[in-house]
Amino acid sequence: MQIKNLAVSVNSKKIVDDVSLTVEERSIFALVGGSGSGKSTTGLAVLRLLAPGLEIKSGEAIFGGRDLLKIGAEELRQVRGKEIAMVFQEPLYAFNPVLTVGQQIEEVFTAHTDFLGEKRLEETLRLLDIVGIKDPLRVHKSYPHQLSGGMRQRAMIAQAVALKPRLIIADEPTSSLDVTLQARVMELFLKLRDEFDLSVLLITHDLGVVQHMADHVAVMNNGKIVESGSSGEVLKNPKHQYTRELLSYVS
Amino acid sequence: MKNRAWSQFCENRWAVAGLIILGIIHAAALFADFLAPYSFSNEERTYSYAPPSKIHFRDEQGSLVPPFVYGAEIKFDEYRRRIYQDKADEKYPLSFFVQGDKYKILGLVPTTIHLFGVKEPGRIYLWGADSRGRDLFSRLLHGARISLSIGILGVAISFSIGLLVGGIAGYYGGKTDDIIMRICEMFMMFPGFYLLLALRAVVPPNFNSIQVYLAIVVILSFIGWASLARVIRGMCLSLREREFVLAAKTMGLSDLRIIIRHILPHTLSYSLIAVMLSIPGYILAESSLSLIGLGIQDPYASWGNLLAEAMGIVQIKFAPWILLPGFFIFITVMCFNVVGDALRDVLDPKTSQ
Amino acid sequence: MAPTPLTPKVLLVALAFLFFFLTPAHAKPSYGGSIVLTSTSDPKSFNDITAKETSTREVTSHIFEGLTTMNAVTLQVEPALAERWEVSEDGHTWTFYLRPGVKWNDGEPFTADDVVFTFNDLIYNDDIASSSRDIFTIEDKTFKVEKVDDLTVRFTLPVKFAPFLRAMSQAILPKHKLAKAVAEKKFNFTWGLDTPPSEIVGTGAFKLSSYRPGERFVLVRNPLYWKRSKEGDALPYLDRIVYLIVQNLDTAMLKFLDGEVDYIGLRGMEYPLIKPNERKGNFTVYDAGPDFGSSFVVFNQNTGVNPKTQKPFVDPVKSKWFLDINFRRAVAHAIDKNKMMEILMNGFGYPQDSDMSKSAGVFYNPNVEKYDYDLLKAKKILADAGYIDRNGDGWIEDPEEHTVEFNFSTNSGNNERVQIASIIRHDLQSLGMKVNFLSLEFNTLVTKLNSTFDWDAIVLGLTGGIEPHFGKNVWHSTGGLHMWYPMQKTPATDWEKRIDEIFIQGVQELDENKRKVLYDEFQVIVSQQLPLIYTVLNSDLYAIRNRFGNLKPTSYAGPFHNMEEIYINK
Repeated sequence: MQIKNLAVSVNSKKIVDDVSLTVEERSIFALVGGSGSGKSTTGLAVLRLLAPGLEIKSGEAIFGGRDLLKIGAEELRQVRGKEIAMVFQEPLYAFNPVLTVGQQIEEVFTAHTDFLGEKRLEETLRLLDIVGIKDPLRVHKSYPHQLSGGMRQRAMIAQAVALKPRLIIADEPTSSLDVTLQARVMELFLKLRDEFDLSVLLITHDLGVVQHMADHVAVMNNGKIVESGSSGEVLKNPKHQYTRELLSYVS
Repeated sequence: MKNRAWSQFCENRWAVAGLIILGIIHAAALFADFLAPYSFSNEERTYSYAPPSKIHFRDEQGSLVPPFVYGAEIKFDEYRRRIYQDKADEKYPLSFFVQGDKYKILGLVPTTIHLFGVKEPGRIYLWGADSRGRDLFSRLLHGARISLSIGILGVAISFSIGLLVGGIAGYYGGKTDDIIMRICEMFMMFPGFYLLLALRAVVPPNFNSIQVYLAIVVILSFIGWASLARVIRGMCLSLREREFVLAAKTMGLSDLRIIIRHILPHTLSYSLIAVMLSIPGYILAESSLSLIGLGIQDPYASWGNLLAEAMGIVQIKFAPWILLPGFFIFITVMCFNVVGDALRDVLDPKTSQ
Repeated sequence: MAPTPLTPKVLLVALAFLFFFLTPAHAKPSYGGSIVLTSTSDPKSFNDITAKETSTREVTSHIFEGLTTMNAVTLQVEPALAERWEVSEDGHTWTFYLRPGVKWNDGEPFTADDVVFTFNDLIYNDDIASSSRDIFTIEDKTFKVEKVDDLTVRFTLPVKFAPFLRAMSQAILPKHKLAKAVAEKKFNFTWGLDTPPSEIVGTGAFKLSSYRPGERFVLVRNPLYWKRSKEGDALPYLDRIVYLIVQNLDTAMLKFLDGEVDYIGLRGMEYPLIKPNERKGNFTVYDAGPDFGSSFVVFNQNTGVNPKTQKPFVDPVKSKWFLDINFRRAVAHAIDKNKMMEILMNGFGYPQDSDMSKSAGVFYNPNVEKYDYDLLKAKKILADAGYIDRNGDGWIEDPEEHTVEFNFSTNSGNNERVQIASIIRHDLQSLGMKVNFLSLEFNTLVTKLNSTFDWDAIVLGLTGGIEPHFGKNVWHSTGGLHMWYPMQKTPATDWEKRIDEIFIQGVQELDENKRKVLYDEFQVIVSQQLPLIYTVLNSDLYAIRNRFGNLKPTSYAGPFHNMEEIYINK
């Protein structure tokens, strides 16, 4: 996916200013920055899921040969979930508390395929297995609050990869997990990238994660990209003052 | 979570009693054909305003016998009051599972078996007769069917409409919300009863009774949906900010799906309480319409049109049992309110968390 | 026989005997006292000319009089403001000789000017919506009303008009009080509810004393009233008449039982409630006989076409049944009159077979065709006419295999009528007819009868009287109330044609015996052709406190038509 000159403002104040980046196939691209830098907004803007009041002022988001910012609503709905999926920071909130996890994962199939009940169940259990959940049937019947944090996150990832999307936008996927879980989830991402040919747009403020997983990095501050390049380079030789500041927090 | 709510509910004795009473009344309505000795239109004009039959368990000698009623001799006294005298030589034993008026179980299987009855020409009037000698007990049961079902159907329709409209208004916000809310306000602005009368006047007079019944259900649901829609809309306005709504959108679910599958279930506890507390209103509205002759028509019975016959000093003085439908309306409304209140105590997040 | 010894006991008895016979005191009516009555609604005005409702007439009937009056007991015309009259040979010219010395209650003399004014300036005035004008207009021609001298008035009619004398009970209003309002074209608003009572000037026995809206209105004796009793007493005897305004009949009944009110009109239905209290309440219940008016089932025989839709008003399938005399005869045999009277009137009431009530006197014809309640007979008549259950579904079908199904309505406000309709519906259903009953609001029903004509069968009632001609609007084929087929251009059937002829002839025939022959024939035709299928009439029952003397309760005009003669027994 290629983002070109994206600009988003709220109340005529620019919170994303002329952002451009390219996510290659089968790669993990990290978008890094502190809070308020505009990185989450960039991710949401691609799928046109901005909160009311936020306006996309200009730019393009080229994916699969078309500009996502300009296609029709129905076409966009087909893209979401099927070709591009999102993973959120806190699965407890990202899941609906009154429905079971299994019901919610199956919904992706209901929305985009004509699988019948049995097939949906089968596929869902298979997905839960892939993301490393040991007791898929129990998890399927459980409500989100009945699962541990790690399992919840895996379930959300399972939901995201259900239809084998080409791109996953992960907004701080590990930030609310403890260290051991973080590692496991990161490994899961890598495994999925290899098995399913995924690309990931990883939005995070944690450079440790970037170091471990990302192929490319872009650093955002105040809505602008201040530095970008391959992760090895940027991390070893930060050119921008801000990047250096960020790195200092990690080491 | 559900079990805890249920046991909390059970702690409230009044609510449980209310629930049981409602259960009995609804079950009786469901099996009205079987439980009632007569169909709702079975009349015997000689027995106009017959008092409740005395069921005897002892014969003249005083020995215990299977229950029976005497035949009745009807005379007018010097003040033209009806005197019902037992004819000692005419005994009609009370039997169970007797052959009676034809009916169809669930509208499909024809049969003639009734729970109890007496052989013709004897008549058994458990709770007295109306002006045409029709058994009030039977008519009350059949009337329960109509009055209660109108209430339930009416609520079902208006709540479906209210939920959907409120959900759409709350989810989309903006202009859609404005337009829908103005329409709601328009409906809420009309004094309910007059809207009821106005809509009733529009119903073509050549409707047969089933069509009239359905028309009344539709009219009632027209009145009630708006206030629910407003509350649901308010709840949805806040619900749509939740992250799972965003997540659902990222999965590519359609708006309607999100509203129905994700947002509206959160309003379930409120809706359930609102349903319970609204049904009495529908029952009363139908009763009011039928009371003034514009609802369910003769010979079909509804509690409202049964009560219409009680509107006169003469009737009340000489045949006080004619007021029973009013008593049943009262009990039913009370029970729904008690149960609804208890539900609110149990399910309201503010008090139970 | 031995002579009775003159013991003190015997003496006492003898004295009592003499006292009883020689003292006229208890037999002579005394002056004074009030009578308290009820009215179920406020009057709309005190203007007798523009009044359309009975609540207004309740007041004005005591205040105003006509040239003639009806004796409610004998049902004959008697002199009132006119003491005698003459009619010319050709029957067109009537001369009335007014009673001398009559004064209006404000002291002004009553003269022929007032009579001429009432007719020429009020009744015939185009600016005034008078309800009497129709009665005094024949074939669009009005009468010529002229003053001959102060006490003589001449009426010249375009044709002979038999009901004329009865119609002359029309109230006469004072010229000196109202001429100004008429000239200023304000008459329609004159004598409204806020008029000071002293302004309401009439010649009657009483005059208006006070009116409290929603509460009561009171009439007091007119000391200038001209009438005297047979013994020469100045009338009226009573000081006051008080009308309490009550919401409904139930309230009135309760007030009567409480003792607040002196009279209540009741129906058979209420008899068991009131009668047992006779001794305690010191009153008597009088049965004055059958009510006037009629109660009936009418089928829509209108074969006309709706000009807007080009479709017939009535479904032609149904029209066939309704126009079939056998169909109507069968229905007539399905009217359970006895049970209706038993259930709804506690055994009071009268089966109705004819347009005229038994109380109507001369013009009532008891020898009409009667239909007994016999469902088997009804079924046979239907079967012979081709209406049988051809397919075993429980309903009868006509020869063209259409199920006999139709709508049956009445007005929702009248409980008794709804009950009658329900009973009939039940019986028609047992004949195999699929009858859909619906009670409608009164105005809706009237619209259907008068303009849209989209109805099948209706149970309704009409008011009635002793003069058959006043029902012309119902019976003449051009009439607006000719319910089964109103406003025909030419009579649709032979029998309707004959009835038209009877009504034209009857009104012009001044010989009452000849009139009776005509109207008897009319009633027979109706009973044979059954455009209206009659049901039952109520009995007029009156409960009146015992302290009143000279009571002559009638069905025609209630118990107090002779209010000026009524006194209180002291």
